[in-house]
Amino acid sequence: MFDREPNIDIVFRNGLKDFEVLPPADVWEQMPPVPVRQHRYHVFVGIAAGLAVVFSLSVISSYMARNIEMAETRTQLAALIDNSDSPIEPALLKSTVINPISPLKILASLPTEHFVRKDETLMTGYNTPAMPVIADRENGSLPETVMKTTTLISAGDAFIVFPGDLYVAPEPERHLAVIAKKTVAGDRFMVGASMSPTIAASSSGNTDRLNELLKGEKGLPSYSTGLSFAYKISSRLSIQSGIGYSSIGQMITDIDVYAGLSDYYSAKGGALFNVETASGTIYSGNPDIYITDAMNRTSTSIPSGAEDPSKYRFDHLSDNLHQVFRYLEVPLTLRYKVIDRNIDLNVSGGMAYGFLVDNSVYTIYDGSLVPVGHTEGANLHSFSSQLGLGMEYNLSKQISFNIEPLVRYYLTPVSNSSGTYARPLSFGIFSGFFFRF
Amino acid sequence: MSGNRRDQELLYRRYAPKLYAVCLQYSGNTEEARDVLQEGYIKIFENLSRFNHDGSFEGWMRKIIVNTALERYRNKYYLNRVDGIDDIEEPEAEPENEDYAGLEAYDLLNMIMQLPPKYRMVFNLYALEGYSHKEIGNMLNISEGTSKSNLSRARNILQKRVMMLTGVTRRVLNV
Repeated sequence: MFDREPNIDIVFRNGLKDFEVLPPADVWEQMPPVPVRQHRYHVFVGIAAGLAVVFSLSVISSYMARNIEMAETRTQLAALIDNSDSPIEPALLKSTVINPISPLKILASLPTEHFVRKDETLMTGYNTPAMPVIADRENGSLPETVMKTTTLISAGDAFIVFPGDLYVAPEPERHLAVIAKKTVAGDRFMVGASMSPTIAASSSGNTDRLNELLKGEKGLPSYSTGLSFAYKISSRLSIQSGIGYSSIGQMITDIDVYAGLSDYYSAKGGALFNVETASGTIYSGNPDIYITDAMNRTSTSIPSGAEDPSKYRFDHLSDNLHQVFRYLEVPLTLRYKVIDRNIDLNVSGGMAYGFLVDNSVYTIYDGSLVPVGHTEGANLHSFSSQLGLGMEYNLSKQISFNIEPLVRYYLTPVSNSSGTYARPLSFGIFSGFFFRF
Repeated sequence: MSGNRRDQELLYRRYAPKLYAVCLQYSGNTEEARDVLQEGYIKIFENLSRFNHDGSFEGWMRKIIVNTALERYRNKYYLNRVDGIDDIEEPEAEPENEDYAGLEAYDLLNMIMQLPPKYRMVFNLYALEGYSHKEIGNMLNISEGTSKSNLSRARNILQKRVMMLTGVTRRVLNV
């Protein structure tokens, strides 16, 4: 481009470069207001927001529907209670939740004059929703443990002792209808969304060159976010997986980035500048970018005679580069509930597989991202392990909020290139909402 | 950048002088240039969200302005071949060590603005924007041969005017 170009072209190109002429004052005043067309990205964000609203409304309406059904069920039970002499324990109405899905099923009916002697062994071992044991009021001094763990219904001169999951409503003929509550396995499944800001632990390299490179780098704030689903293996142990998106990176400092090289030099392909970093070599594929470096990390493929920067006018963009790696992750975690109260304390441990989906190097000028290139030799696959200790707060019976500091250790390095640094440790705070069903 | 008027005005004030100079290069007169500038900025504001950071922001705006100018003149002027391909006139030999000092940017702009539109367009696109003759042919709906011949004529005219201008300057200095 420079070898056989007529002089007249160069005269006009150089003479008019950066030439400015003030436009007439009324050009702006006569320009109509212009609405900015929304990028399609905003459409997707709008759709995602709409889906989130729909999902939230469905959760709320489902919760309200269950409450209404429960109220109706209690009303039905209350309607079964006649004006008999023996009052029914209010425990019937305020005891544990009746599963509204299962119909009220009458298992058996016992006339109250049929009594069964109290059999302590039978009562304490009684844990199936079958026939109740009727204890004679006078003969029975019910064991303390039985009284605490069962529902007592006063019916005439006797107590009807039931295991906790049985409910009784008397019929007008003073028969007892034993209503079975369908055994509910419990809410074993959970889905949720989470977010975790992280920061890499600083450390030193194992060579002098690595330590020198690390002096010119600072960790960028990193994060991971994703959707999770979990299955409760037991009341305390659950297994969790999902899909997530994480970002890690560092800022390369003491390096000056300029724009405008393409006005003076045409790249015939390939990277014009290479920058050595602790995570691999950056290849600058943007033909308009010119780089100078105070720490002797940069090399260029521009022939030494072709460029004379002192003659050229570049625009200084910034004094750093951002080197970023983003992964799509699939984690697998076991979570154990150490304390099971209103606020639970959990211990978790697991592993994650990550697939590199973005390997980019850019700089920031005037609030905009200017692409520079990528890091050569970045590892496409990553494996990491993590350990956490956190809390789970139940906002309602279905929804809980988790917050959990965790430590992540990368089992694979970021780059396959030799002489690079693995950055094995990072710390983060995992937080998210879970919905049980 | 938000869509409000104040932000758009800031963007206009910052880059309009440079882009107006580009408009003058392509337009040939101030009236047409202001129309190109206004129309170009409307397109810039409408398509701000499409800027994907692939290159500089100023370069992206400049491309929109140039395309706006081309759109206006594509049908207005008939940019046909001047001569056959074999009849392209080679530029006159340039004197060695010619010193073009003393040429102001305004002089250069005026010379371009005085070119016939068909020569001005091709010279701008080839010498100032860096397009090839094939690309220029596609952009202006002309053949490569026409593009080459228009460029050659444009260069001839500009060289003569430059030499006239600098020659007058040297005669004045020698007095």
